[in-house]
Amino acid sequence: MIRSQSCPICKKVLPVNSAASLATFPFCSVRCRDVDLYRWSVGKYAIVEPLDPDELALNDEQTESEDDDDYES
Amino acid sequence: MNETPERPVDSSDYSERNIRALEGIEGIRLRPAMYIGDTTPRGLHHLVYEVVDNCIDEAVNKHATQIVVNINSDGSVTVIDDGRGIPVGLMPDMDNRSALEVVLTEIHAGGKFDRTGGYKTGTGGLHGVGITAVNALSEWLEAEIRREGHVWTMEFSRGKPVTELKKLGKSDTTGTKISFKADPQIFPDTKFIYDNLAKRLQELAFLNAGVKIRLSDERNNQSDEYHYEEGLTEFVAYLNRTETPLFSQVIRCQQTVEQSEVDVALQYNDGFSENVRSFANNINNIEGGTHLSGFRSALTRVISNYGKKENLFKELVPTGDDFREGLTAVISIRIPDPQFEGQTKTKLGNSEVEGVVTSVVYECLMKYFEENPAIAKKIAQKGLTAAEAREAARKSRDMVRRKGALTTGGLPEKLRDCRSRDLDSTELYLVEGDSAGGSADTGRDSNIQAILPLRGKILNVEKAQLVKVLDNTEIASIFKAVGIPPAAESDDISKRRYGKIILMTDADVDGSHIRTLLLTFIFRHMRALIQQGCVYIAQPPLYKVTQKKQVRYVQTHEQMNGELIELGLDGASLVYSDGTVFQADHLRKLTDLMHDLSDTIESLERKGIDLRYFFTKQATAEGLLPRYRVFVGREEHWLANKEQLDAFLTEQEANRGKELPVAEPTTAQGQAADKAADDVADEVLQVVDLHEVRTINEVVKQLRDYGFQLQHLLPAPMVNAEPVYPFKLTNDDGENRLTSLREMLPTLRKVGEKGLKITRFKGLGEMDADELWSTSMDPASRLLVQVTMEDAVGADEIFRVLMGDHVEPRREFIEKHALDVSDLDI
Repeated sequence: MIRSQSCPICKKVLPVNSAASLATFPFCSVRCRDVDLYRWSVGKYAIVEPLDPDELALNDEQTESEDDDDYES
Repeated sequence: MNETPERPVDSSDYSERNIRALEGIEGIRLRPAMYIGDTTPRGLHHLVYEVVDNCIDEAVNKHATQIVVNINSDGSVTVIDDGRGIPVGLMPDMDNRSALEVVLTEIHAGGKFDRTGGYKTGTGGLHGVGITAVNALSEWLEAEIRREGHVWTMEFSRGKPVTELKKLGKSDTTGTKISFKADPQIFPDTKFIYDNLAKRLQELAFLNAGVKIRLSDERNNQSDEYHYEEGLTEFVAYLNRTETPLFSQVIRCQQTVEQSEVDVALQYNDGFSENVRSFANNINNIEGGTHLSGFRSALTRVISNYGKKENLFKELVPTGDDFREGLTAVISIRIPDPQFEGQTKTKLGNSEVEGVVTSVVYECLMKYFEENPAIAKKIAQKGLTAAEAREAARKSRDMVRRKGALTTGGLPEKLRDCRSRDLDSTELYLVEGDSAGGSADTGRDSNIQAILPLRGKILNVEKAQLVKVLDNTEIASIFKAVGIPPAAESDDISKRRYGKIILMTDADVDGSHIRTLLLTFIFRHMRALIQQGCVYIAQPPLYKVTQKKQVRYVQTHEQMNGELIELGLDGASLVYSDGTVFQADHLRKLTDLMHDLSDTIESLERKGIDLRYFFTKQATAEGLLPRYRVFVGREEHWLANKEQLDAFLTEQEANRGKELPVAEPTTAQGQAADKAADDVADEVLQVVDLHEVRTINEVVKQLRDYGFQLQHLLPAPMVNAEPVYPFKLTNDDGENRLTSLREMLPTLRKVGEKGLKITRFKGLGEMDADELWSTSMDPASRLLVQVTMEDAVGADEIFRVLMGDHVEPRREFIEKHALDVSDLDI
């Protein structure tokens, strides 16, 4: 794995060489792992797919900003 | 005090004043800890700070600009400032001793007990003990004062004067220079450590904006200078230098309320620890105190209010602690009469300070949040994440308390377990959907195969998007069924209940999304399973092909397509109207070329390019298509290649005598460009790079070898309103007429399909138990793909994109994958 990996929660970039040997990989810390597990366990994670590709551009603007609210940290 | 002070001639006089002076000095030497904390290196360095604090007081009150601290080669220390100089005049009510002597030998003597000494703000030196203690605990101390046109010196040993106050000579400047050597009778170790001094002196420079402090060490010629015009702002930036700040700006609040100066700087980083330092009159209040609690309550109130107002805290309400994760802040206050309490005597106790700090910080942050909503939102969300972490930690504690409810609290109800407990052969199928779960249950080998049906909820949100989530009970079910705890290590893996964990989802897009969700979850929380190679993906087929009672299964669209074309090619020939016949290898080659072309042409058509119109723009000489479509205002131009484009642009500029304004790149897509061209101003330039043209031209060149041109890709022009068919595709069964070469592939597929019954499975649920068993579950015939760490990392990346973290990559991803979704045209 040469590309750099970032923590799914806090987006901190993990050190390239030691990333895979990190006990909490792909998280930077136990804390972020806990946050992630919490989000799974309350059903917060979703894959969002617009229905009509033609409406994509229109929907994206709205859904993206809503997604940010819910999932970005 | 302009006169030369005179000391009593008879210094051998023994009187009560000597006794009193000795009492003070001896008291300090007997119990040094009372004055400097202790006699460890910490106390030793404290001597320097006591002297420097006096310089800082001069500097803060604008009497000095520069402080020099020098560690001398003999281990002594010299501290110099360019302040007003300690007064040297005689003090009649102190037995006519000089002020300098009194300051250095008497406890509770000094210029900082009231506001009249020129110290307008709170001072660090307050009790009049500091410099006297330094003198008392020094083997020797020399004071050199520049003041009133002269340089004065006086020497002491272990707190007692050994010389009179002497006038050394003339000087126009002012200042104080104190040199001292710590007394080895008091300090077991008298070696000053550069880095210790450097740390505190730098801190003082941060706390006192504009003051220049220079530290040097004659023992090894090391030196540093600390000078910060921005004070606390630079302090916070310095504290965050090894972190990644959440936003670049440092927030600063400064205000003086009555006699209290409040100065606060703060910033957040992406970490989780709190780094808040509080100071009162430059003294580091390690245990905090009223200024810290005032700051905290203001911070909590402002962020809470903001989060509520913006409706960010719907499910969880962060607490004050949550708003302090990743917080770096410095609080510095100056007050006239600080009261210290607590273990280390560093906790600020002045109760009036709390309200002052709260109101200053509250007002300042409210204003800042109003003016910087993006930053305010980031801070509030940071707090929300912290609250989630706290909630998560609480949940996992609960689970441990309930004796590992996740793993030993019984098996999930929906689990159809297997009989064997042999890890070498047992398998757990995680199956998407209850109905597929049912088929899998019927079809399985119940000795070694267990089934856990999972519900992937697909929600239709506002009729605009499909939102796919794993039902929240499923996460616990997976942990329970697999039988390992969250964040399992390799040791736990051996306790898993099944040898293989197999994900089986539909072969369609929804299925692949559910698989991505599952894989991401397993990667993040059961990574050891993947590392040990225990996770597999079943490959249920997408098509069932029946031919004369023979049943076959085909995995993907591409395979099905390929097979049909192969069948169609069998014994076929293509006849062109000029009589040329293509067969066998020639026909296959032609088919391959058309195959290369079809995706590319579709991509162009999706961009809203009308092929018939586009093909008329072909660059005549070579019979190839132009690469660039250029709009200047509403005017359209087609240019064959980069050279032509450059030449065109140069020419346009020359004609107009200026560079053309370029349209926003977002509109530089075919269809959008058409729309945009209608409303943009005349001279706006848009260049659309049709990179598909490269592939098309390549194929067109090769088609020439077969005697075909671009126009053979389009339906031949009608004659008398009747379609013309220049091509004929023939085989044993008959012939099909084609209007263009592009019809060749669909026709071949149609021909190939003859005699076959093709069923497309819309999902696992459409297969019966036997079909599911033979295609996806029978160890003898199924196809399993082992999940590698690479795959898992890839799934995680796709998941992050699909979740919508980043706007652009997600859009690209969906557009790209939208192509793969289009159904096979049969």
